[in-house]
Amino acid sequence: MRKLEAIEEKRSFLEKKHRLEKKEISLQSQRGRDHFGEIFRQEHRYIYNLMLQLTGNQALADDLAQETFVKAFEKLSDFRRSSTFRTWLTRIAINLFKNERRKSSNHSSLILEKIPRPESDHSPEQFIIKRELQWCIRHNLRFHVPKKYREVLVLRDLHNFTYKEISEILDLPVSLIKIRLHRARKLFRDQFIKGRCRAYTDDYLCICEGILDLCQPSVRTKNSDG
Amino acid sequence: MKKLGKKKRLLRKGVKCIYFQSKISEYIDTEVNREDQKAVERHLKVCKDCRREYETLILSLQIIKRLKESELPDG
Repeated sequence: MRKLEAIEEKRSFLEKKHRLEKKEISLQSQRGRDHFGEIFRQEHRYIYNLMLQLTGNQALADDLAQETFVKAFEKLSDFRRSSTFRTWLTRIAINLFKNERRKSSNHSSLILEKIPRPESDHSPEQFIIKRELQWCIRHNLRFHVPKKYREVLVLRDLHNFTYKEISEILDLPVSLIKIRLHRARKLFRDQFIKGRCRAYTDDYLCICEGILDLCQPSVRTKNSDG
Repeated sequence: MKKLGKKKRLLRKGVKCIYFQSKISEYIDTEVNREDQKAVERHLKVCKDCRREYETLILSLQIIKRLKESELPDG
């Protein structure tokens, strides 16, 4: 008798589990749109920020973020739960960014794109310094760190992905990620601290003076000598 | 033990430094194993050049993280 009860219990448990699984599948097919809308709200800012840091261009970042979600929506059924949704989404975004590189490298030009001057009118001094510093960081990333290094740097230092997650996103071995990350950090540092960026845009001259205040006195002396 | 000449000593130090400097990024991210972590720490204590490399990398990391302040907030 007890044995029968146990079998019955197990069967009802399995049925319940089966119903749950079915529900999960239907969530992707029927209520997929609603579900996706929720994800869109949660992740849109993240993807936009990531793209802005990678491209340094607001309009392009906006376009790429939208394209990412269009692509993600089309490929939603391909998403396996082996990685987190954010990692999967980042992978799509990075691939789009790489394609963008291919497109833009066809029309490469030595003339720097116009970068808008930070909104400095009628603002407190501190705000201006902060904005200019951020402008300089973005400028350095965009023009002095090659894209293959920039990807790793942004993912690790601005979004705190682990080496393993970055290797999943970029589809590269962890050993290579380590090397690229180290080179990226060195490149950025050398440009920012040791070197002096003197890039002109139409209405803005970047001489990266703001950064010198942040540096240790020895670095400052070295820079002012050179 | 045979005493090394100045040139050879410098060369030996250089090789060591190249090795440890390549480990600095991993060390910052605490992605090195325990053995390497201790070795890097020991080397940083005695080598001024590598300590400087480490400090400037930390500094540039702090700088790059300032980009986060200009981000749109999540949500």
